[in-house]
Amino acid sequence: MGKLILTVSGLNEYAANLMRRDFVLRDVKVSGELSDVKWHTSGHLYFTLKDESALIRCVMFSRDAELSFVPQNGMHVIASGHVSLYVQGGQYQLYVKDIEQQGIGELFVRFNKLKEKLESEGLFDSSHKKRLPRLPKAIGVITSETGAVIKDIIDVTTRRFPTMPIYLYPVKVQGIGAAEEIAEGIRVMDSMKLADVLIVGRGGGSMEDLFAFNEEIVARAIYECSIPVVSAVGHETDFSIADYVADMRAPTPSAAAEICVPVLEELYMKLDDLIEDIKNSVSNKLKQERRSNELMMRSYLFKRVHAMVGGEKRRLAGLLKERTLHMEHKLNAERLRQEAVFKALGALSPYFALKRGYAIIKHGEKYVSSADMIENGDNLNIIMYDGVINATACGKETYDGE
Amino acid sequence: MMENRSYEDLMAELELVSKRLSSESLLMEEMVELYERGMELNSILSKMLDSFDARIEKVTLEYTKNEG
Repeated sequence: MGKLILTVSGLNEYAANLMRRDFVLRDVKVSGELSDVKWHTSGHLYFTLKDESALIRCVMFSRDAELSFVPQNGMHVIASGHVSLYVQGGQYQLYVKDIEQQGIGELFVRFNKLKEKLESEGLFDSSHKKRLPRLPKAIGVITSETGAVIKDIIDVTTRRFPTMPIYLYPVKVQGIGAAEEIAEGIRVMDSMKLADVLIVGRGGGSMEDLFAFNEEIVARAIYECSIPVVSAVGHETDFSIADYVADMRAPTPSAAAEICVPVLEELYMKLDDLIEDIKNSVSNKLKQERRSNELMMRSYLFKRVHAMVGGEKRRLAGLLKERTLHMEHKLNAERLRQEAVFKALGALSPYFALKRGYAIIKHGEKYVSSADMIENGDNLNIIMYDGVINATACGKETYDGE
Repeated sequence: MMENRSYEDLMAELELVSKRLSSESLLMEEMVELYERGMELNSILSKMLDSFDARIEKVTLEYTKNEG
C-alpha cells in the first residue's frame, strides 16, 4: 500500500492541529533573548526569541501588545502563549499573549533590601553629606572612557571654566566586575587627592545595565570617600543606591558638571564688583571727612576773625593742627596740616580783616592793640584797606572783659 | 598664612570688608586698615583664579604608581 499523499494545506493543517491539541505547546512559557524586534504599522509586534543555539519567530497581536516596558533587542524575557503553525505561510511560530522581563523582579527585591539596610545604617543621612567646594582645584570623573558621559562632562566643564583640570578614572559601568572597578576608582581618586570633587556615573540603560551602581561595594566606597561625590547614573528618572549615598545627585552628566564647576568669568566679575564697592566706599568716606573738616574750620574762623593778637593766631593754628591730624592722620597728615595753617593764617591776615571794614591803628611805629596804649592827644594813623587816616585821640573809654 | 585658607573663606572675608566699609562709621585708621586688607585679599583671590592649568588626564595604574 502506498503512502497517503497530502496537499500542502492539508499537511500544514495537520501539523497545526497537532500542536493545538498538545498540552505543552498550547500553553507555554518560553524564556530567551529578544532580537529583531519590530513594531508593525498594524500595531502587531514581531520579534525573535533566542537562546545560545536556537530561535523561534514570535508574534504578539496589537490587542495583547500593551506592555509595561519597551521591548528592546538583547532583553531577557519570558514570553507566554501557544506554539502553532501559520497554515498559509507554513511558519512555525510562537503566538505571544504576554511578555515579562526576566529577572527584573529579582533585581527589584535586591535593590529594596539593600536600600533598607543601608538606610538603617545611616549611609543616606543628610548630616553625613559634604558640601561641594565653591572652587575645586580639579574635578575627578569615574565613568566609562567611551560614550557620552565623559564627553558631556568635558564639554560643560571647558565651557564654564576652560582651565579646570579633569582627571578621568576609566571603569566598566556594567557587567561582571563593574561594581568592583567603580569602588576601586573612588578609593584611588580619594587617596590620590588630585581632585576636590568626584563625579561618578554612567549613561541611561535598563535596570540590569545600571545595577553596578546599586551594589553595596559602590555604596560603601562613596560613603567612606573623604572627597565630595556627585552621582550621575542613568536618566533623570532613574534612582540608584549610589544616588542616595552620594553627597549630591545630578539628573544628567552635564548637570553634574554644572553643579561641580563654577563659571570662571563670573568669579572674576564678582571679585571686581567687590573691589569697586570698596573703593567707592573709601572715596565717599574721604569726601565726607574733608567736607566736615572745612565746615568746622570756617565756623571757627568766623568767631575769631576780629582778634588779631599774635597769640590768638598761634592758638588757632594749633587747634586746627590738632583737628586735622586727628581726622586725616595717616593719609594726608602733613599736607593738610600745612594747608590748614595757611588757611587760618590767611583768614586772619590783616588784609582780610581790612576788607571787612576793620582798621589797623598805629601810633608811630607801634601797632595799637588796646585802648590802654593811647593817651589823649596822641597822633594816630588809622589804616583802612584803601588808605590811611590821620587822627588825634581826643578821649577814651575802656571797658572790662570783652 | 592666608594662602592656606579656602577660596570660600577668603571670599567671605572680602565680603565682610566691603560690608564694614560701606556701613559703619569708622576711624580713619580703621578705614585704611580695612582698605589695605581688601586689596591684599583681592590680590590673593585673583591669583587663585589665575593659577589653574588646564589638562584632561586619564588616571591609570601607571599614573598611580608614579604619583604614589
